[in-house]
Amino acid sequence: MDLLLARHYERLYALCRRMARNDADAADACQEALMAIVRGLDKFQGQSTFRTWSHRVASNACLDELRRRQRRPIAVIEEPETISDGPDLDQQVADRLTIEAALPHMAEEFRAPVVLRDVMGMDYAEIAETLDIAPGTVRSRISRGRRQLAELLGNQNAPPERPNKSTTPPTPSS
Amino acid sequence: MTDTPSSPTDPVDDDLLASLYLDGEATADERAQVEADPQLLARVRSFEAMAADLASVTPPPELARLQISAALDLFDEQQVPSTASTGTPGPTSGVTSLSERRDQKQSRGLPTWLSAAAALVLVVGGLGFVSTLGGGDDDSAASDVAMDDETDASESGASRVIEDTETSMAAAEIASDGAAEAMEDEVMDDEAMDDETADADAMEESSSDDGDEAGAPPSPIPLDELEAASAEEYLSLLIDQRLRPIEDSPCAGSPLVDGLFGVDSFIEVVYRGELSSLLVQEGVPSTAVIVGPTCEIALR
Repeated sequence: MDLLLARHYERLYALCRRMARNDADAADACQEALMAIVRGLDKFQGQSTFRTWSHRVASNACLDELRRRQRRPIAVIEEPETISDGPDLDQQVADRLTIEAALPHMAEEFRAPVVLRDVMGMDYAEIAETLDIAPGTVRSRISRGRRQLAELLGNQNAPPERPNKSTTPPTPSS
Repeated sequence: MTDTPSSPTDPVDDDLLASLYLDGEATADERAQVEADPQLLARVRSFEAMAADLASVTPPPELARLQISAALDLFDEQQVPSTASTGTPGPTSGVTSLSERRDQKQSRGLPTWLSAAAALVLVVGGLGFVSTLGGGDDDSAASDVAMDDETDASESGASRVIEDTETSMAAAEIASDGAAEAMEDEVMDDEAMDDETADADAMEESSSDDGDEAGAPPSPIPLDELEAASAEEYLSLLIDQRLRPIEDSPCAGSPLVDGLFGVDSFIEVVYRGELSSLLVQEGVPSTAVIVGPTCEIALR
């Protein structure tokens, strides 16, 4: 069981950390997630894989715990205003810092499905079940969430606008 | 909420397509559309990079240790009453108290996966001389095991269980007739090894210990390979290296591998009757693969 939990811990912590506003909340939520798995073991009916079940249980516990805590004002971390256009040895670090700074600006309705997908690896159906929303809503929220995140990141990784679909005049790419 | 569909020319459509493509949720037409459009592919790569960054979080090691320990304490608290009161395994049959196992772990770092693998070899070897399964009864019984662990002990009588975590198998119980009986003491000796840190050195040390024991598998899975392996990979290795004899059985070419890939973090190996079947399933009955002379396979 310890290895079972250890194996899932990093992913659960990542989920909680990406959803929480600070390390303390993430730690508490992660502990709740682990406890939820243990408490629910004897309720596991084998109707899904253990991985699916445990991720769902843990994700729900994590999100519930964070919702309880997230009634406080957001302590927004200042994101870097300028990111070098050119190649930079520190670019990866800068990107990561920017993601951490950008996440608090995402609405949870977008952030949760994106994080469940990208961190937990859930498919859309699992996300729909976990968040109790329609699969179609999962699709749109993930795509919109990613778009929002890309914009918050300064769109530095985004391709140029498509001239034939853009609602604004195309900008020449440098 | 604001989840209104976008118009066909809305740029958001590109993001939706890119997301669906990245997540493997796109239809064939949508995939073709993305693959034919360099800008959409670039968007996919962009989202992919963001996803990688999102997933890249390293928990503080000490926090992980403390939190897992707390969860294990809770697990122990839950398990002990269910076994102590009845004297038989609780609802999650085959899941033994970790207190005992951790106590033993402190004094002995034997990799129980080796013992379990050895047991598997014996069992699979036993499949060769065991007559055809008892048809529907066993099939249904095996399915019952997958569905309801309460039947594990009662239906199989002498059945015992090996439970496995990723790199260590804790042999909870093994009971069988014939050759497997000879394995019992060894496997029971090897019981209770949850490798706390999956430390390679400890594993190797344990391996040498294990090699001294009679009945050890002739060619254990390479430790470095095992350590790096996920449970699924481990099981795949197990199949590749241990269950090769059954290739001659009707099971050859079966969806066995797919089923095993569905197994997650720990397995139980249940020997039923006279080694007539081998059940590999998740610790709590879920995905189950049953291999026997009649190639009964139940996947969930």
